[in-house]
Amino acid sequence: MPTLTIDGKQVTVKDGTSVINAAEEAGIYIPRYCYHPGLTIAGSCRMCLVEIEGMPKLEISCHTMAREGMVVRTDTEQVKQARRAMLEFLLSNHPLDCPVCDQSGECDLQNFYMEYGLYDSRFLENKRKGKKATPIGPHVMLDQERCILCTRCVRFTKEISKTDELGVFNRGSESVIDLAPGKTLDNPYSGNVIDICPVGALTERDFRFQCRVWYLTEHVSVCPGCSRGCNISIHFNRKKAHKAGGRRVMRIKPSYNEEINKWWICDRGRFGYRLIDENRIEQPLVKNESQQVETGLGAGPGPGIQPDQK
Amino acid sequence: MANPGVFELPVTTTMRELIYDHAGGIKDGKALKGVIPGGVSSAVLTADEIDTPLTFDALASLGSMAGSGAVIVLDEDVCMVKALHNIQNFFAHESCGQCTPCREGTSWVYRILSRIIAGEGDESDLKTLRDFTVNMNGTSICALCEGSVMSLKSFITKYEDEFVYFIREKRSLTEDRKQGLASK
Repeated sequence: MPTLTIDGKQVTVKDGTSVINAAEEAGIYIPRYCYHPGLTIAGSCRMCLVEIEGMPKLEISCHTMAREGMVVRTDTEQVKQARRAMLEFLLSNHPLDCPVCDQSGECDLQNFYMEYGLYDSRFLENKRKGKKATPIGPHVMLDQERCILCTRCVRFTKEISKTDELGVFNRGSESVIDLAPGKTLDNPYSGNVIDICPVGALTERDFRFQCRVWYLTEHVSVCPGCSRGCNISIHFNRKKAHKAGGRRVMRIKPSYNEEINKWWICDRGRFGYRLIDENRIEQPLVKNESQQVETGLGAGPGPGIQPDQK
Repeated sequence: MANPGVFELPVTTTMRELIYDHAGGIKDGKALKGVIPGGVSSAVLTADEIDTPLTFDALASLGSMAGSGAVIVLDEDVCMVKALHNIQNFFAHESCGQCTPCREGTSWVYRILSRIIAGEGDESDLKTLRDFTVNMNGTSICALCEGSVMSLKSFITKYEDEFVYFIREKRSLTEDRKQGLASK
């Protein structure tokens, strides 16, 4: 149980806790792209660099384990400069098409730029080209230009779904995320890559262009799909349902529960939400000989079910 | 070089002795402009710095390193902007693309230099490159990115006039001097 100091706050954490999680326990959020608690550590985005006393250079907090007496600083000029620099590098080839991007509003590039970036662009070169709006499976749309190569999706298909559909191809600045030859992203958990993608590279085909995320209200619930009872978060839009053909429930996201579903849910639960809005009984129905007929409240049993006559 | 080759010498040998005594000096009696002591990841030394012995400490005190020991001698006819362009092409090509500063940084540097050489340099380019020597240094996973920074930093600091000239005049200072278009 090491005790360490992060930005002057003392925090005691379990053995084997990384600095990024220790900081979170101390109430300090360190920005990250490639790190995800449910996946192995890649250490490639370099966004979570922090200053650790006694270290000659900045260290990535996701891959540095907390040690007794460690003194970590996340708010120094050097750390801020590194975050700004990483954002500048990540955004240099990013298309900046936020107005037409579905991720807009829940995008970590946007969020971190507003918090740690705020510089003027000085990228005078032509941006890298890649596949745009390419369906890679029944539920997921890929945009390679928006991708920042955090490889969360690659690690998900390798470690969680164990289906290996996605991979990094080519080298250096030509690197792209794509499907392995002959594969499609159609495993029963494919929707999770949409959640873990920190940018708009992987978006939901079903939810695409249906609703801006800032119109959504969240409500934590339990998936009715099966007896497992995965924790979900229902994202709904009461006010603008007419914009999406009367749909109120716009999508379902997993909600973290260590005991049941961790960060994930299956595609059946995620995309099986339409029954809430479709064919929903909103009026009392009375069954006559051949069909069900709508009736008003208080109308009483209709002619179809007269118990006395039986 | 008049007599290029592989030399096994005591580290106390100076760079001047290596170039002029062992390797026979520069071909056609040309003047020396700079020398890269240990592969392109090491910082370039100017002609004034070649009296340094080839010890680790002496080279480190000049901000360079012995590196791989592959000495590259640049004579007076070498345009340092084009030389750096060639070196940075190597780094951009070799970058594996795993971490952000190297993947985006090395190719960005290479593209800026390509633009300068194409005569489309911008006044802001040198400042951008100088900032990269900080932003790309010590932030990457491996040392390839830092190697590119070492050469980038030394070239744009020690031969700044050539970069400024190329950006402003859209031509190489070295080539202009050779043709008598620019003063020495």
